[in-house]
Order: sequence, then structure tokens, then C-alpha cells
Amino acid sequence: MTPLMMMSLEPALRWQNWKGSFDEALVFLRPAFADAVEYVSAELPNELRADVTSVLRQLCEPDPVKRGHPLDTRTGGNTFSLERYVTRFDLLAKKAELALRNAS
Amino acid sequence: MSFADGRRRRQVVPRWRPWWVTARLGLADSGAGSRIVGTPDTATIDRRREEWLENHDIPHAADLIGTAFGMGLGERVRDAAEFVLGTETGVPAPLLVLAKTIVNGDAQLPASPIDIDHAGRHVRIHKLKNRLKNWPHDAIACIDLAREYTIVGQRPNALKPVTVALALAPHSPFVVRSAARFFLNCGDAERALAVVRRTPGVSSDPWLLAAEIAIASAAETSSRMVRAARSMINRGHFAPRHLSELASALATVELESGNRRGARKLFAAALQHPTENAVAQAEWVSSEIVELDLRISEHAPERSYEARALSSLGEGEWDAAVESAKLWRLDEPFAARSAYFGSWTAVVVSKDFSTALQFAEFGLSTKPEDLLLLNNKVVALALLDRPNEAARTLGKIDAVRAAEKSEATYLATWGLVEYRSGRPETGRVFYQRARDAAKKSRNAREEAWTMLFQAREEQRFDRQRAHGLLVEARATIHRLRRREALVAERLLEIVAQPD
Repeated sequence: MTPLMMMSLEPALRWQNWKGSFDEALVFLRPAFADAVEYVSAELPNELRADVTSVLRQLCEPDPVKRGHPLDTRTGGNTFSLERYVTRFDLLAKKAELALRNAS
Repeated sequence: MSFADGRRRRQVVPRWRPWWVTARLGLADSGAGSRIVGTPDTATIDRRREEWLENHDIPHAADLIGTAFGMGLGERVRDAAEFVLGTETGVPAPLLVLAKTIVNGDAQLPASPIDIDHAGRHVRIHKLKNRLKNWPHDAIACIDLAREYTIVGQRPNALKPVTVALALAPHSPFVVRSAARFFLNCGDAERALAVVRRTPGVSSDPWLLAAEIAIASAAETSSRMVRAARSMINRGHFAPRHLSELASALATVELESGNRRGARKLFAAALQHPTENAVAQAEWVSSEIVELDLRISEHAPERSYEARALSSLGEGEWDAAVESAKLWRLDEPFAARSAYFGSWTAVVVSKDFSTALQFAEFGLSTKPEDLLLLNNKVVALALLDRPNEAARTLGKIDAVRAAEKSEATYLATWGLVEYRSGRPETGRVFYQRARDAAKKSRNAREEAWTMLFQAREEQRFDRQRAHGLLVEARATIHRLRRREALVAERLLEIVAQPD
């Protein structure tokens, strides 16, 4: 996601040149992140798009306070934990396998 | 018709451009930060390169490119990017774009602002609304949406996105300056000022300080930040580019309080590494207030359209003045100033009345009740020999407000419509009343322009009378400021040589 976000940013706003605060940067990181997610989302197969995009948004959210599973961010849980995603990824893998099998 | 925008006070109020243009112009960074940036560990790039050399395929090239570009070292993987671009199938679209960025470099600002028609504006509005539906916390999209609404004349719709943006990013100079400009454009200078003043850290950001001082002047109130601004300029902690608008705003305050020497010094500081707004301010001051001998033409940052329009007019480069005004309008389509300037200039330095009409109509599409734009539209329509439409437009002008603001202009325009409607006698009565009003208010400028415009009409009815008016006008012109006198002489020349 980092290179895709950087692609949407003017060179002066990229991490190696930006000298301002993170709060200020977050204002333009949000649209850059939105662009990056939309780039990736457009590449995903229809049957997985919504789920993968949602996971991507949660795990790569540029604001660390909001990053992670919504239940963890809301309840003060560990937002770095991937526990809640294990079942989700498992389900996604099965969906993908099924789609591949149907396609062949 | 009055001397267009020239006499209106000008302040270095913030420009309001789309985010991508602001960022590309290098105006998105306040210069206030001092973060120290570490050097990335490039060992990962070397490892990815080895992997790519072993497995010369797209996934490994993607890993290498992504890693290097993410570290800000895209130039080190140009070969991998070229490999991606040379691969015909199976390349994900984002990777292609990334590879193109590495090979071709970052996109540059277009040579001139993009001309977008009304339908195009609505497409943008639709896209931005969709973006906000999916990403409601995007303050920049909110501001860009508000700008589009303002351009298409839907200011009430712009209020909500501006308010949301301010709530989402109350500390962002881009958001705050844009929001302030929005309120200023709505005629609410007090709210514009309040928005800037309540920004956290306003006194430590040169761009916000500049906005506070300029907007306070526009609101005809005293700035609370003059001392902080002076101290910031004197300390010299910021690069000259970041201080350009601040020094310019302060210079204008000094000039208005009669301190020419101080103003000149500050303008010189503002022009060290100027923004185009600061250059336009210096050009306007030199043109309308006092010649400061600043060698302004040496400074020409990108998008200096307003400054170029003013300086071309002062140099007698009439076509260039109109052309620059067209670009100025594209750069700030919601602002009336370029429309005032363009609609007036096209009428007095040339006979291109269609262009004058276009300028007035563009301006009215965002500010439909603006008195000066309505007036300039009437003039352009009358000069295009469309008196009925001119009279209908004249009827839309609030006579009481017009008389309060500029009685002579309003009466003269009425006179012009009468002449073009084939009633020179009534036209003369109105023009006489206009001259009387100008004399009463001791406004030599209004008087000179009234005579010149009437002379143009009399050339069609009574050449002797026209000659008399031109003689009188010539005697009055020397009382005008140098640049205005030059333009008045141009009109005199046009009128003296009728078709």
C-alpha cells in the first residue's frame, strides 16, 4: 500500500520530504489511501472485492488510532491483533478456491 | 462602466485552487515543520533485486519496484519498471501506473489551467460526492467539492462540505485557508476571519498569519497578529517562499497606514521568492496606489496570470492583458475579480465586445446578483447592438444599491442603453446626470470615463459633440493615475477613429 499511496502524493508530501506534523499529513494521507484502496479493489475478482477491500481498509488505515478491527478499536482491544481476521481469511480462501474450481 | 477592478482594494487573501493544483504548485507545505527524516535501510532493495534476477517475472519485479518506490528510491529500479512496461499481458493496472511514474517521472502541472464547462463541473461534483460517500473523512474532497459548488453558483450547497472539512481537519492550513476564502467569497468576511483565528497554532504558521492579516484588512478591522507577523519575518526561521504572502499582507497594512518606506521593504522581502499572489499584490499596488520601483517583472512564478494581466495593461499590451485575464479566470473561476477585469478591459482597449460579454457572463454564473458584473454585461450587450437584452439586464440591477455604490456608473450605463436604443436625446440626459454625479462626488475618473463612453456614442449621432467630449476628456485624463490614464488614452484613440 505504501508505494500506491506515495504514487498519489506530490513528491513534497512524501515521507522523505515532508517536515510537518503527522496530524497535518493525515489530511492528505486519507485521499492517497482512498486512491490506493480503489486501485487494489479494481483488480480484485467480483466475488471477493467487498470483503478484501473491507479488510484492507481496516488493516492499512493510515490513522493508527483507527487502524484494526472496528470491534477492537471501539472496545480498546489490541488493534494490532489479527485474531479476528483468521476466520475471515479462511472464508476468503475458500471463496477463492470455489471460484477457481467453478471457473475451470 | 467604471475602471473595472482596479479601484477595488486588493488584499493577499488566500487563493483557492483544487488540492492537486495546490500540492503541485508546492503550496501545500507550510514550512513550519522540522521533522528529521532518517535514511532508509536499502538492504531490502538489494535482496529483492537478487530475487528478481533469479526469477525474472512480474511478481518479483512488483516486489522490487514497490519496495524501492516506497523507500523513495524509485530511480534505483528503473530497469525493473521498464521490464514491467515491456510486458504485454498479466500486469496489474496499479503496477503499470507505478512503473510509468518511475520511468516518466511525476506528473507536472499543466501549462495552463484546465477549461471545464458547466457539465464538466457537474461530473466533478458527482465524482466527489461518490468519493465522500465511500470516504466520509476526506477533508480535502470536502473542500474540493465546495469549490465546485461555488463555481457553479450553488454556494448554499458548499456550506456543508466546508463545515465538515473544518471539523475533520481544523489544523490544516489548506482546509482553513480554503474555507476562509469561501466565506470571503460569500461576502462573510467576519466568518472568514473567525475561521482563521480559531485555528490551533495560527500564530506560528506564516500562511495562516498571512490569511489573518489579509482577511482582517478585507473585513476592515484590525489584525490581531501584526506583531507576531513582524516578529516571524524578522526572525527569519522560515524560507523566503513561506514568508512571501505574509510579508506582502503586512506591506499592504503598512501602505494603508501611510508607511511607504516600511511597505517597500516588506514588498521587497515578499518578492525574494514569491508566490504569484504576492506578485499580483505588488503589481496591483504599483498600478493603483504608489509606484514602488520593485522590479516586479523579474518575478514570475507559475500561474502569475493576474499579475501579468495587470502589468500587460500597464505596458499597453492590450491583447496580452485580455489573454492573461482569461487564464486568471480559469485559475479562479469562482472569483469575480477576473471577470470584472476582463469584461471591462475588452470593452475599453479593444472592440471585442463578445469577449467582454463572455467575461461578464462567466462571472455572473457564480455571482448572479453582482452589480458590477450586471453593469458590465449591460454595457457589452449595448455595444454589441443588442439594446433590448441590455435593457432587460439593466432592469435586473437594484437601482437603489447601484446608486449607492456608484451612481455615475449606473446612470452612464443607462445612458448608453438609451443611445443604442436609438434615443440619443434621453441618452444625453442620463450621461449629463452621470457627469453631475461624478462631479458632485469629485470623482475625476468617473467623469473621464463617462465622457469617453458618451463620445463613443455621439460618434454615431453627432460628431461635433463627440469631438467636444473628447477634448474635455483629454483634459481630464491627465488627472488619472499613470496606468489608468494610459488605458483611457487607448479608448480615446479608439473613439477618435470611428469605423
